[in-house]
Amino acid sequence: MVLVLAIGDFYVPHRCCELAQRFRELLAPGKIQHVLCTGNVCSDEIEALLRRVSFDVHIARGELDGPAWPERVVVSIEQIRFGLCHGHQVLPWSGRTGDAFTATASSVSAEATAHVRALHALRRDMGVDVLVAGMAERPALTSGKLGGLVVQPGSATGAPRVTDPWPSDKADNSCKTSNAPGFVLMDVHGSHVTLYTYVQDRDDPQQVHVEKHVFERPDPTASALLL
Amino acid sequence: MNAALEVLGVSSPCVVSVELDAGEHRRVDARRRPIYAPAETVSGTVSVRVKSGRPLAHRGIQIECVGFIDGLRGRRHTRQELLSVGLRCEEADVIPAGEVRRYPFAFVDIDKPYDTYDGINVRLRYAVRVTVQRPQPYHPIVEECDLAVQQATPPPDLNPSIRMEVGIEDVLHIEFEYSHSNFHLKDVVIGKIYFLLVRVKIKRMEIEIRRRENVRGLHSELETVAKYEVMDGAPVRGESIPVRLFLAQYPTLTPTYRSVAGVFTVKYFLNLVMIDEDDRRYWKQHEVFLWRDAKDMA
Amino acid sequence: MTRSNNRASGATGTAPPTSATAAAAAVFAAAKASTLDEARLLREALARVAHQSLRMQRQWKGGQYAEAVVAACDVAAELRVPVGVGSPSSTAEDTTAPARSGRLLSPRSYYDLYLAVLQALRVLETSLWSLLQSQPLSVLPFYEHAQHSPYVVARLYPLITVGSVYVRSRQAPAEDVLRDLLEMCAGVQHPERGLFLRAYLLQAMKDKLPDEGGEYAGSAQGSIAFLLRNFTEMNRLWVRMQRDCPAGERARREHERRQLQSLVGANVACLARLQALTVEMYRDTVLPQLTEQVLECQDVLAQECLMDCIVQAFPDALHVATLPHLLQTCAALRVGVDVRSVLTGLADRLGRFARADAAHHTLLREADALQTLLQWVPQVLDSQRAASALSDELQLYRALLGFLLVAFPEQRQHCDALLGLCAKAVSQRLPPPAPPPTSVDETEDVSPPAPTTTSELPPTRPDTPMSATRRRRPSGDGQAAAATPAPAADTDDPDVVPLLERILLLPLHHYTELEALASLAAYPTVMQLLPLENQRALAAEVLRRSLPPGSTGRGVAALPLLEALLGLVRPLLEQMPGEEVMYHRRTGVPYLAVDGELVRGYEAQQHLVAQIVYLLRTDDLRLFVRLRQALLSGGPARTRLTLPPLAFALLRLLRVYRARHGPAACDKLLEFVHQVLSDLADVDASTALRMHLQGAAAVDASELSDDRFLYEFMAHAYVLFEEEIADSRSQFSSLVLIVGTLGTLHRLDADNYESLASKAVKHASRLLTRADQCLALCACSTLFSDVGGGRWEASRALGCLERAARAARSSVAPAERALLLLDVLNRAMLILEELHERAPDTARDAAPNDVWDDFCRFTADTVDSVRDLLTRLEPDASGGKAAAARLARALAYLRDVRELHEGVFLRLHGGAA
Repeated sequence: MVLVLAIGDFYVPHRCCELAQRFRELLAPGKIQHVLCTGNVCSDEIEALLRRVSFDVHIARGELDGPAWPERVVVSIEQIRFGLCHGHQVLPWSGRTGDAFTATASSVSAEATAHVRALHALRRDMGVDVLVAGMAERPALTSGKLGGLVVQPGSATGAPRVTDPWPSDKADNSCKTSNAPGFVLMDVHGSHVTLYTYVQDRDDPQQVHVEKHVFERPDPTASALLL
Repeated sequence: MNAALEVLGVSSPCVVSVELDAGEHRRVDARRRPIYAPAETVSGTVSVRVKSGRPLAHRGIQIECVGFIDGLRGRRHTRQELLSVGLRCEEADVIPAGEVRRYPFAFVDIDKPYDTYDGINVRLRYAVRVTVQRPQPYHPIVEECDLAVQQATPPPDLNPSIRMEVGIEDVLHIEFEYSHSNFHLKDVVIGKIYFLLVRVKIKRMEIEIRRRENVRGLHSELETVAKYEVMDGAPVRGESIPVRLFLAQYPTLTPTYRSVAGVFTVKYFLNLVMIDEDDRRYWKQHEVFLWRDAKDMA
Repeated sequence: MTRSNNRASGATGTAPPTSATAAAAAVFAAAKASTLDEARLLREALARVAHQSLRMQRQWKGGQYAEAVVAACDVAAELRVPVGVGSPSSTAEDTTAPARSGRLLSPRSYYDLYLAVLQALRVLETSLWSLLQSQPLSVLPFYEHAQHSPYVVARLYPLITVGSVYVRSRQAPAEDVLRDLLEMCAGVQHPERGLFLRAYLLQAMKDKLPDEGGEYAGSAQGSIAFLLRNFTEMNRLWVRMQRDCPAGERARREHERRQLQSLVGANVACLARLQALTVEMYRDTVLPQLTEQVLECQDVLAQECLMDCIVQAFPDALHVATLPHLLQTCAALRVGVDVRSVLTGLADRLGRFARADAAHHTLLREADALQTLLQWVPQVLDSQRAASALSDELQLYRALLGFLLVAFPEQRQHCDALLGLCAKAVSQRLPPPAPPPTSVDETEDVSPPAPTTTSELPPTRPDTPMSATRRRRPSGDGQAAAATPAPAADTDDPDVVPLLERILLLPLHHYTELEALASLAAYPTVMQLLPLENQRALAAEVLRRSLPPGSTGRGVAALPLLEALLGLVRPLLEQMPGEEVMYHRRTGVPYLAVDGELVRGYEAQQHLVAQIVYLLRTDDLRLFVRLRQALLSGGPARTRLTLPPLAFALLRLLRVYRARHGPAACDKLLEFVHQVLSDLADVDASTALRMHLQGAAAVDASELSDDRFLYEFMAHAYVLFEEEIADSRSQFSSLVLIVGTLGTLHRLDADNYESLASKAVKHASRLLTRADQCLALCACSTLFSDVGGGRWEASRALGCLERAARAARSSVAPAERALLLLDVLNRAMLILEELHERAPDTARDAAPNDVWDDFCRFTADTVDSVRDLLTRLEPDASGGKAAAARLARALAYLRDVRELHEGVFLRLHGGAA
């Protein structure tokens, strides 16, 4: 059992204050073997936090990150090949999750939007089974027509988008946005991946909704063709 | 020793012993002498045991009750008889060897007016004396058995406390207080010493009981009968130190005697002594009167 | 009264005689011999104690009880040994008494002896007790008998032992026995011996004191009187230890006294444990008598220790009831007494008391504890000012503040006053800071400096990516603080700075509301007393505590509060002397440096500063304007980090602003956004460009009627791209972002879109490398291939792809050529798929067949080109394998969704193999 954390789009401090305390507690060191970060780490503190979670941290470059990190990363864990890319390079953006349709993490949706379709194309081109990409507002899993999975862990901080209204009302204490903080935890076992999506409740920061999904790599003969 | 003398033929040929009535039940004084009241009958038995081998020829056996005052000043021994009452219990006779003869005796209504006293310079004694007169050239055989006489006196009518303020100007100033001036022999001296001014470093403080004998107008030196530390360390101004001295712990104490047969007097003093760090002594002496209470006799 | 000099009789019996050799040694080497003497003396005394103790036990077993008691006196007689410092007038020739050979048993050794004696006495006590259990005896004779010893120390120890049994047997009222013993103990006036004796008295009696609910009958008043009396006497003895002490001995003497401190304090502790002690009793009897003793003794050490002892021993509720008295006493203590630590202890205790229970708050309130403290503390301090260290004083303020914040958190004015006192205390103790140097130079450069581009800089060593430009720090209202060095940094006391920090952290911990903290006017004043580094750390802590805004409740909605907050964090906002800005050689990003060295960690602090904007819970633009002004004073190295969140927040404000103030007001907001972005562009063009794109997205989502601002944002982005982005990698990624954003904008009118899109294509084809050109053109193709979004211009999309393929083919390296063509191929396949999925009708029927055909043909041609390239490549050439794998995957997909790609297959020259 190998645990892989997919997380990213922190945007601290560019778009929001900090990572929720509840998530900091969940991301305790010593449990998770690999971290795949989709980028926009922005601050050293968050990077240090990720490196405390695990020794093996891969970070792809987001649009606000410096040039230190690569655009794309390929990692093999057990019998699964993971690709990692932030996704802002993958055009078009239109039809991103949350734009054209409100994706929920409740089910693995078939690829539907132009952006996700492009991500799948990238996944095929990179020759990976699972592509972890950012730019989503909440965790979303999308399976390809012919197998393969795109995992979008969403924003770990629930960083608001520029179109979310500023909480200017004095009475409005919370930082409510259309986005919900979340990440995806993957339990890799051979060619079998169990995915858990973590989404923080908007009203109760202590509450985290977890959902479980399963992904199985199509079959070995198909993978031979992929290579 | 006796055996050696016997071989030489000069040892006492008989053993004379005095046994007082109810001797084992009687109270004894510090020298283990049985105590009698002044008018009490002194009775008992004298036994004469002639040693085996030789009969004892004597010229009469006499039992006396005697009392006298011995003066011990220097080499000069003086003796004054107070009392001598005799009984002749056997005329001249020969007692066969090995025989024991007993002679009961009783001195009724003889007056023993003064207490027994053992001092440095003077001693007042009572005794039952047995004399076996022997033909010349032998000395008479004398055996004495000491008695103690003690009498209780009524408590004094006035028993004022002693309170005094003394001192050396600008050096030491104290006030002391004793509960009484008269104490019976089992009494407790209770007192207090207040320090009003202390400019010397006092190390400790003691109470001494001192005694002075006066025999025929000659004062003897003060004799310290008891020493009792009442304070350890240096007091400061305003300190008050308690004194509680149990006289019973000193069995050699006697009552104060103002005049015994016109021969001697005994006086007691309480002496408060402070000793400073350089061992200088500061003292104040005050006479106290001791008496023997009826309770002390019991 | 008579005085006589009788040395011979005076020294007898004080201690057993020692050998002449030891005495001689003491004469020659007093210091060394004294310790040897002491050890030997102790050893001998202990041996005698053991011996006499055995004798006592033997006699007791033999039924000789009176003799056993006498033996117990002999045991205790060992405690008559001289203790402490020998008499200064001791003479060498008198060698018989050990007291004459200088120093003898130290209190520590004496204590060992004392313990040994106590052990023997415990045997006596248990023996006597078990005897009483078996026979109906009276204790009185034993009590009297114990008093027969001629030595006062020797008889008092067994007397106490027998007395304790006497009380236990209940043959006499405890009160009477206690009173008697207490009185008799006055016989020992020697300080050390007296202290130990009375300590034993207390120890033997403390469980036998009549008390409420206690075992022994009698009034608790009597117990209190007993303890107070014993305390008084012990204290006097203890104070007396110091008397007549030669100057050289003083330190050692004090040390010894401190060792004995607990003996005296035990009385107070015992008093405090009495169940019957009521508030009234404490207030009316106990405390007045205790404090009277404390004040009367006029001894610095005793006052210090005893006050501390009183404060620590008694329950807090009693202190609350008697606060004025306690403080009054503190004020009357002698100069030199460490009254601060006493008060500190008191305040700490009250603080804990208040924290322990909510009911305690009312108690404190009723007692008016705070007023009393604040009224008295300055007086107490004034009475002691000359004598104590600054750190002690601060320690006191720390404790008081802790108490205040726990018990009376709402009394902010007092908190402020205390902080003011701290500031005063520090500034009074320190020399006045040097006046700020005034020079003409400083007034010259008023505006924040614009960054110089790296090209102007002289070349630096290749291994250092940074180059430095020294700049004059911006002069502003921060100048005064910058020019005066922090005075607390000057003090020698290493405790002052940490203490000040702790003092300043206290309100932070207790006031969750930012308003509360901001209302403390003295807070920044105290803060300025710290060295700069600490000021910054503290300011960062202020921010950390305030963020996220959820925890501070209402956030910042008014200008004064923002001003106060900015005042608090000013050390973080401003550039300080000695700091300079260095620019990254390649990216031109500014960093903070001191003496040519990069400052590590400042970014984390600036990230906190950047988050101030999240506290703003308002749509009042003035606050944002003020914040920008404050942020700008930090210089480029800081604004690089602090401006983006401000800009982003402003953009999010747009929708609210429009709804509340109408579209016209948005002009003002957007104008301000442009100002902020232009500030940002000066320091970090690439981020500024991204923020412009975000601006465009924000305007697109808002319900503004025309696309003027939208266009403006995009146009600015282009300007930045053209003028500021020099690096080719950066150019490429920026362009991709421009294209991506452009693709999502819905409210641009067709003309504007057209012009912006063609600009993108133009820039794409002018990028530095062929690879960038190719990939950028592929990206641009999406601008025209949005089938669902209605921007479907097949010819232009195809045109982009063809230009991309041309760029790819003109690449020099064959492997790269193949890889780039594969990118083009993938893009073409994606467009085909999109076309097919989203608009099958358009694709199959409505759209002209030639478009479909063109795409299919183009795709097939690309596949053929790649194949062709791959056959000509060396098999092991770098990139060749990767290209082959990618081609295989693309073909496999073509095969798998064959119905979609039928058109492509038809046109493939080599078939689908």
